[in-house]
Amino acid sequence: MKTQATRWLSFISRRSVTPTETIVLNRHQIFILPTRVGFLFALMLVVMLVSSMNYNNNMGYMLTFLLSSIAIVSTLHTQRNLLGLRVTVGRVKPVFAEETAQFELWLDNRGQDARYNLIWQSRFSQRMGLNCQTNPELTIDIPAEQQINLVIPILSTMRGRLSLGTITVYSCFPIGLFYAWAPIHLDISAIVYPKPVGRKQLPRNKTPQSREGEYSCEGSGEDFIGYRDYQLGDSPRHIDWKAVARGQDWLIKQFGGINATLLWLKWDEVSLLNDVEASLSQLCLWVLIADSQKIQYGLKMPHCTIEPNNGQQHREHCLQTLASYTLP
Amino acid sequence: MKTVNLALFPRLATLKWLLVILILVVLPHLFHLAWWIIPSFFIMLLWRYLIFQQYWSSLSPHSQFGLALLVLLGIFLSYGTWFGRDAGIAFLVVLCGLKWLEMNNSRDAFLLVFLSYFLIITHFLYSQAIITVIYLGVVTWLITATLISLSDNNDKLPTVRRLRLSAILLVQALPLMVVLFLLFPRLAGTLWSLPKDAYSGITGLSDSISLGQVSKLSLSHEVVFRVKFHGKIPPLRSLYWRGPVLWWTNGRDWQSGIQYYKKMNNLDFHPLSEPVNYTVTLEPHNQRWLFALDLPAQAPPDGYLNIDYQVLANSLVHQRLIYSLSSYIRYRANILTHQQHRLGLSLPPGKHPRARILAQQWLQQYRQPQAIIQRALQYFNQESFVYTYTPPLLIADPIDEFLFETRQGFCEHYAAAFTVLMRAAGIPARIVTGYLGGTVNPIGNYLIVRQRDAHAWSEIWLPDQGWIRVDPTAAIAPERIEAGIDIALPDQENLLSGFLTDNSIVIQVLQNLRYRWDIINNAWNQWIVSYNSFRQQQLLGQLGLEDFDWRHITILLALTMILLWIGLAAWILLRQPAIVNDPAQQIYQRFCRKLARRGVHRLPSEGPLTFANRVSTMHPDLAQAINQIIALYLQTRYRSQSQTLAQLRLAVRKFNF
Repeated sequence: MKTQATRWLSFISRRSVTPTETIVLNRHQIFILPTRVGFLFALMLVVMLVSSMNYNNNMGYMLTFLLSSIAIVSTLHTQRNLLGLRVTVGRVKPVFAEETAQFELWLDNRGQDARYNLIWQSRFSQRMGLNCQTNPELTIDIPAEQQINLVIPILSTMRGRLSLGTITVYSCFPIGLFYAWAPIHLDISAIVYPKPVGRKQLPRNKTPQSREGEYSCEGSGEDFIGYRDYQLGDSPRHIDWKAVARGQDWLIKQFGGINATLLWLKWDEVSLLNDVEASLSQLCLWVLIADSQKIQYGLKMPHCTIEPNNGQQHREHCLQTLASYTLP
Repeated sequence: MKTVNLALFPRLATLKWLLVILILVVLPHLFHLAWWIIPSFFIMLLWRYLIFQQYWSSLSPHSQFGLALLVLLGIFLSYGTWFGRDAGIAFLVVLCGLKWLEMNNSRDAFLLVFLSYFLIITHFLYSQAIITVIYLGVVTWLITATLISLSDNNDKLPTVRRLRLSAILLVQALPLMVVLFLLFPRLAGTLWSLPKDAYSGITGLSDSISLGQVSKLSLSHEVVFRVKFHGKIPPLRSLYWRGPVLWWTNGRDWQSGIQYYKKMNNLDFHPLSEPVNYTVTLEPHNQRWLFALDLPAQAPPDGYLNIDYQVLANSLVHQRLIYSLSSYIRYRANILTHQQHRLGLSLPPGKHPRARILAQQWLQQYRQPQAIIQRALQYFNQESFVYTYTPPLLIADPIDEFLFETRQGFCEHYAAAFTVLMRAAGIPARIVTGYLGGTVNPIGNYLIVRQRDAHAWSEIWLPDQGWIRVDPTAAIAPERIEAGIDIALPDQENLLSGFLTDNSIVIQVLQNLRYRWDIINNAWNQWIVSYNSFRQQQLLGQLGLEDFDWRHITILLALTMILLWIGLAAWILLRQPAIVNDPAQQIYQRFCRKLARRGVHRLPSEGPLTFANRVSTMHPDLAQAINQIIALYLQTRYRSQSQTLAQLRLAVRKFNF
């Protein structure tokens, strides 16, 4: 029976609503039910009423009716705590898979009274409402006449787009006997890059842009240009000791001039892994390494090619291409 | 380790709130409960507070359980039961204390708050007076504020806001409460039998007297009943309020006669004066009898007359009762059965030898009953009898000792002694107890009868006259009869008289205030504390809704509640917050509303300048007017407030789309 109730609740709270960028809560979107202590309170009222009847005690009646009336009035206050709340989408930074995306929302309370103790949850959970206790980080107050921002963390599982989905705002204020909630569907999603993992070395197909042969001149430039495998006789100063400490292979840091080399990161080189996700993860790792080494790198995918370049924008372009590979 | 756990919840602020409400809600029970309950409750309160402040370590679950068993056992030992009113309340109080000790999450705190609400209702079993209700109203307000503080997880609401919100909730709940109170279908009678001690602690006249006991009720200011006369108030000395009639005696104790509860339909009764009509509001006294002016012609609808012309209710009077009666101050009541005749002459064998001898002397001397009565009254008047509320103890034979040795006593002694003398002289006699006189409230024009007005007198039966009231107290202390109990009592009983003269303005003002206060109390008792199904019908009748049964009332209640709820919802949910008090901004918003009516809405993010630019490009014809208004607005709001405000107001008023 309980599951049925839960299903019904989630049904009514997910009625067909198209996500938008701004939502203003109206009374059709706000639902209200007693909390667990609310049921306890009702039980107490019944006992009080029966005792008042039995003793025919008019002041007992009076108190019972006063408390019932307070409970009735409190439902209106609980609803008011949510009513008219304007929620607007904010920014959300891209994340790598299995990282937590921070969805930023703006809560606009200008021209309205203060709201207290709003509890935000990324999913509808009846149990949560019944107890009205939660993670204090997502319990916020919005002072009157102010706009504040709220960050909802959601753990990403796989690359692609992570949509915020339906979030729920609860309120048990002022006396905790009833909880009101409103489902909020907002059009906001985060880009999730593939998880940067892989075992393959950065490819060595560095093509000199103009001056051939400069590639092997170790330490000739001041800019870090990449790694190569350790060979006997290499200077210990160039060994990447951090990588060694991490348990990776011994690598030699190579230094060269600015824009000295071009690096192509090719799908063909990772497609041997026979697993699209693993291949994308490998490419993602390479992009990050190449970016951190300030190498000019390009990306060759089956469906598109990104010309070599470097910088923040280029990196994001490449990562987005990887994130959306074969996804709509 | 435990201490840390407990310290997490609740916050200190909430803990203090809970502490305050628990103290306030339990305090009035101080004298109702066994002596150890309240002190141990306060120890538990302090204990938890010290745990919280980390002075003490907390209790283990085992010792908590042990403590709970201990107090349960204590309650059983003190009360002999776990049920009943007093034991139940004691149980609730210690339950609160135990919960307070072990409270470690918010649900425990909620439970504690609910228990406090419940404790409030227990006070109403002892008192429903205005003062009690005001005090408990304030406590309810504070408890609701505590409930708000429990729901305010971030602790953002300042105390003043919390108290204000609690008051708002209470005030908004009031209309709903009034409707529920007036229209909720009321039961007549109880749902199940009440515990034995449900109405204990109410003292009053009893249906027996025992000579030599210290009279407790005689000095109490407690109101027994109030009387509203439909005409003029008769002289106080003629107001004998008839209560239990006593026949049986063993020489020391007097009790009511046979067939006491039997209803009599045809009482031989002839009124000799005009009827006196009046309405009595009787305070609950847990007895059957109703007080009526000597002598009532007929019983009220919810009572009956017995063979002693005494009015009895159909059941024990646990609730305040209002009844109307007609009485005749002069009457002839003839009824005397054989049994009564025998009983009215009987004396315990072997008792009161000296009284019997005295009566025999009188009988031989006078023969005529009237003369004997006169002689007896003369005896009280001329011998050195003293009227006092602190008579010496009477040990062996109370009547003889009183009549011939101590000669100090109050109405009961005189009535009993006189009755014994009459019976010994062969005149059927009985004792009537009740109240005499009362205090007139000149402002409300009604009579207040208090416990201290209690009185006892005798009735004798003469063949040609029937029952005749004889008040022997009048012979010894006529001022008691004429002017009421205050005169008869020694001076120190009246606290104020020591340092203020009777006619001083202070006394008069105080007296006046006291009368007004009694009027308020009387109205409160009649209309609110005594509200019942009868009053409900009366109220509906006044509204033109006659012959409503409980189904109609329920429908009416539901409809009224829904209407009120809609009104409240409109008020709470649709109300625009009145936060803006800057006049310039108000005028600017008026301007924005004017535009909005024509479909030009200001976006929440738009400042005045951007908004003006956008509207100007949309409606070039209005650009000049709009820019002027915006310029004025900016100048008024952000530079000089006063000079340009009038201009701005005028510009906005003139602005037409």
